[in-house]
Amino acid sequence: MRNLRLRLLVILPALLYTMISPVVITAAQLNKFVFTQLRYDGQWDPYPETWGDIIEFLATATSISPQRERRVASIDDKELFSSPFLVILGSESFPKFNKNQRELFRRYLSNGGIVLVEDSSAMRGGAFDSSFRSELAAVFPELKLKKLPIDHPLMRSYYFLRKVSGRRLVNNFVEGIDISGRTALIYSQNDLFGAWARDRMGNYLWECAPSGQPQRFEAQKLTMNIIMYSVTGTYKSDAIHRPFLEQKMNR
Amino acid sequence: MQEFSSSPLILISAVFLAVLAGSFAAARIRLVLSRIIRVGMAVLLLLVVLRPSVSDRNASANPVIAVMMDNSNSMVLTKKLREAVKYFRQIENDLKKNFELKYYFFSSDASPVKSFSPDSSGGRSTDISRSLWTVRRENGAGLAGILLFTDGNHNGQQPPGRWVSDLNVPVTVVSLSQPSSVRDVEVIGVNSADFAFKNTPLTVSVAVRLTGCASVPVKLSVRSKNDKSRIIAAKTITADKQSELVSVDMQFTPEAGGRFTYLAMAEPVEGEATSANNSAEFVLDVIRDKTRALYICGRPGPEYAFLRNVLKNDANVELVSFVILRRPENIALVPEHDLALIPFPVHELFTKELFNFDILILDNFSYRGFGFRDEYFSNIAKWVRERGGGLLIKGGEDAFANGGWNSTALADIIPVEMSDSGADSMIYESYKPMVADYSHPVMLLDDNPKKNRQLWENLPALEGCRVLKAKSQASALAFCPWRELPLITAWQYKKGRVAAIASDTTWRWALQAPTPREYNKFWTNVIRYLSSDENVSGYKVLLDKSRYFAGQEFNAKIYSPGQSRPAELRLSLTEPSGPQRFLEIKTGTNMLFTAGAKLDKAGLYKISLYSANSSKPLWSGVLQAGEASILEDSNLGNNETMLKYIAEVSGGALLNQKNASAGMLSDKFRKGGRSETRKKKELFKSPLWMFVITAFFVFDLLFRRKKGLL
Repeated sequence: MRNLRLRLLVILPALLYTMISPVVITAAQLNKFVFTQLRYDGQWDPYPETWGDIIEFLATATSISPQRERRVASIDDKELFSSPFLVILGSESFPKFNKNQRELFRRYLSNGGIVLVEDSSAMRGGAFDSSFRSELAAVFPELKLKKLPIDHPLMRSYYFLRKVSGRRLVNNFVEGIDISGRTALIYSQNDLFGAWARDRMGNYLWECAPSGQPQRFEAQKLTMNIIMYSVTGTYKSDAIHRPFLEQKMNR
Repeated sequence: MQEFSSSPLILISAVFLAVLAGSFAAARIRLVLSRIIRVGMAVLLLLVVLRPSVSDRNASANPVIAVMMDNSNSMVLTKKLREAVKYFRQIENDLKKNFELKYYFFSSDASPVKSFSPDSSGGRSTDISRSLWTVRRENGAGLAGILLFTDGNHNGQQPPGRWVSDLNVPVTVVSLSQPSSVRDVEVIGVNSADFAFKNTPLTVSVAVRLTGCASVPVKLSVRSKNDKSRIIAAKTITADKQSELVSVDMQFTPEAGGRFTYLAMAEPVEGEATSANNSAEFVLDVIRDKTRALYICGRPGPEYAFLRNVLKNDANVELVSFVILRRPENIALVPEHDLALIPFPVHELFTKELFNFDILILDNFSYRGFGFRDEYFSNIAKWVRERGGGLLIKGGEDAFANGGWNSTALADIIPVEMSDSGADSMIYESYKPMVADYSHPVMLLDDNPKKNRQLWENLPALEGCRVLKAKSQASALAFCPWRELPLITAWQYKKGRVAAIASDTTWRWALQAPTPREYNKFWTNVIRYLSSDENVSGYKVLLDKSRYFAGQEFNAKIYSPGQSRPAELRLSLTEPSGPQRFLEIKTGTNMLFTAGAKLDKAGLYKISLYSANSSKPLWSGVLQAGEASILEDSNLGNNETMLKYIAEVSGGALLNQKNASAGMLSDKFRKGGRSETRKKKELFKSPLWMFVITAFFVFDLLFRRKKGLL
């Protein structure tokens, strides 16, 4: 019942907004947010329908103007470089890039792209985790994944978040790689997208453990924050925001 | 003793003429007469050409010393001349016992006099090098020495240096005391950094020599040279001693960016010998410590993320940004305190804070729904018009007329015409911009014009363009090729600059290009242009002095960040009277080239640096050459360093007037020196001789015609 209320709360205003929105809906991407997902050899799309809910949530709750379709691109695809935000999901072994692909991936991140990588297995030391870390080390031998601090801008880019979340709480942190003053790659092992997944009846597929629905909502908020971070960068760490945010945090 | 001096050619010519005359002896008389005329004519011609002369050489019995007395203005104004003549008269007779004295007054050059008058009028410049050599030439190398009375304030074109060492005559210099009755305030110079930061207090040290001003308050001030009536900093100082050199710290805050000439001035005190030395200029490049940019974006998206990252990573930019994360139509889903949102402080920004910024970027931003008042628009327009603010309006679905800006006070200052209907049309296609002006500072992705063009051609395509129209006086720098719509437009609006960019997809230039270098360069150019940073090209011409005088040479170092070859650059010097000439640029190192020229006239010169293929300057500046005579009155102290140098290099000595006796002076000169004065008189220098030759020629012609010899 609570699920239904939440869904209605999200979907109905979104539909209404879509109907009355003065923004001309065009095929052109322009400056819109595009949900782009990496296709690779293997289990690249464990949650093929979640992007729709994410986009609806985004359009309802924030001022971001999203493209209302998912873009799927391989690492060699030219379209990848029209998509500043890329999602990589996987629960099994991540394939190795060839030399050219490694160079493309490196260029994508170095030129301003932001990648959210999600280990959907929600297991520590799973196949995806070890293979992806290995590949990342090959792409960026000079950089290492680091735990992002709890006061990282993505924890407050839209919602105040005091802890990380997901379908499972494998880690109490997300990791990242910083390039040119921004976190260009964000890596989560808590299966954030699993918290969005539904069946055809609209029911959530997975229970969120151990805290249930509140944990799910926190995971959804973290997803929103990561997307917001991709389009605002370190905005929330600006000095002008600090007094306001600290005042709010202390309430 | 007189002697005839001439070339050996004259002797040969005389023998030749004698033989020629002998051969005519037996000829007929008329022929002889005719030939006599011709021979006479030839002899005269030879004499005029070879110019034989008679030298009158006088060798003195006693060693000769030349006494040179500086009678330039700096000596007269300070009454040092009077004191020097008085002192010389005391020792003159003692010197005459051992030496033959020759007297010379000098300022721009030396001239012999029979005796020194204390009331001699002052010369407008002092050329010690030239004067020493005039005396040396007139007396030969046998001079026992030169006794020099001067304050050492040489302002001739050639520094004494080699000129003194090559004299081969010892110069004994007498350092003169300042007469106690002279009162003078001399601003010697200003010690300041070459550059200062805008709106940051700066301290400069003003060196002042106070002479005869004990207990007299002296008012010092710093003023802009362009507005001398406005005092920027002021201080009153009082000297304790009769003669004192003081360093006074003066603090002021430069309020505008650019290159400025300031004056450190002292108000004349009563009875001051001259006020010509009461001020000193200094030049400051006032730069912004950081460009303060206020970036307001109506909707988060890739364009905001990419541009914000560029601005945030630019060490020269201090960024304050606001992006609207939630609009009234968005639903919170959580309590307000769970949202990390802050209020948009419209009133504070557009009534107070705006004036602290250099740049305002309105990116895809509609003011509607944020309680904008007319006052805010007026403030933005005023900030651009009167305070030199830089405004950029750009992008997207909520920009320009769609954001309501067409019906505000900003419509006049934005360089494009927006739709009257309240919504501009939009082109959605992808396109590569058509660049209209590659040389505009905003469009310089590389300093090499050819490479710059290539870079623009290779940039990834943009998507979407607002349908706007460039205003007639604005520069449309690039177009969207669809219907040739202005994509990047800019203009100078009163004191400020305004640019409009009709797309919000420039992020593609970063993500899709091999490197984001060109994207970063473009936006850095835009920021520098908007902040009216004249050195937007990165080129700089550094002058070797802050002030020049007519007749002096200036030397410049050219900083070329593009590592261009000298052939790719042109440096022009526009003279005060108007003519422009291009100077030779020499190869330097570390991206520095050099150039220089003589400043023949006094006045304001304009220097401009161009690339070879463009008539728009990469850098422009001015330099001022003052009248040379100003130098003479502007320095009334003794230049002890110069005096010491002349004495040491020439093998002479520096003595102080207070304790230099005739005996001490005598010891400094050569004992066995004999001067030879040469007076050379050229016998056939007068043009009259040419007239005589011509007359002979005419007479010969008439004579031969009459006698039928032709």
